[in-house]
Amino acid sequence: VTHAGHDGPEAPPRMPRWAKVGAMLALIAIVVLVVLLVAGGGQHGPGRHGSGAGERQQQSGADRVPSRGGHGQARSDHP
Amino acid sequence: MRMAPPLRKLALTAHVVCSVGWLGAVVVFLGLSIVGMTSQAPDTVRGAYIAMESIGLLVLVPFSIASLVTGLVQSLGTQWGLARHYWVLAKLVINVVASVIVLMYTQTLAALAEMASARADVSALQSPSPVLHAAAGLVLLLAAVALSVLKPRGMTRRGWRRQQEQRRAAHAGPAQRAG
Repeated sequence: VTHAGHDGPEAPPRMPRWAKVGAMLALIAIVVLVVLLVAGGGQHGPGRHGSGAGERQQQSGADRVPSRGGHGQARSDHP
Repeated sequence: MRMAPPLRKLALTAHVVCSVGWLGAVVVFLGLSIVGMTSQAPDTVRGAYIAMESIGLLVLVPFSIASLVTGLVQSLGTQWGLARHYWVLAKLVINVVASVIVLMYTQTLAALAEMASARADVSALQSPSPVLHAAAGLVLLLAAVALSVLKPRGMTRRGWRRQQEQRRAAHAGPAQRAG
């Protein structure tokens, strides 16, 4: 008896369509993430935020704080 | 090794509780990350990022590991196996990938919480990163839930070979007894 995903009782089953589609989507997601990481200059992870925080702590009293990209910028809401 | 029915039910309950708890925590985390990214009140933004670190460490990480461990117990202790059915395999991959991302992302959350505690400029904190990570995690966990409920058919080659062996053994048993 041949049914979906099987070639026959003695043949090993083929990968079902949903699994192929899922694997394809996962592959596309990985490729998109890698492209975004490369396009963003490899800026990902805690270093992007942490370096800015460390920078600020070292400046104790300086009137500069890290910006979104981790670079210093003039602070406007300092009391 | 097959678990006895009472133990199997206990393991299944534990796995469902851990997985649903993880899903709920991700939804809460997503809500907080949206508040943190969009709020105009500096104290609310800082509070959201500090709370996100606590949720990450105290809820997301334990639930993700517990979900993975109970899932392994559930699959290895039942007839489903770990690599016999594509839906079980897919859930394992989702669980491992999501757990690794959660563990790695705690470093980013710690950095953001440190900045929030240091009363850094909120514009430095308001990153779309937590929202993107939480949304991606939610999609992965919803896919895992769908796989658990639907259990789509499809046996791996390994599972098929195992099934063939069991069938041959089942047929050989009565024949040997008859002989």
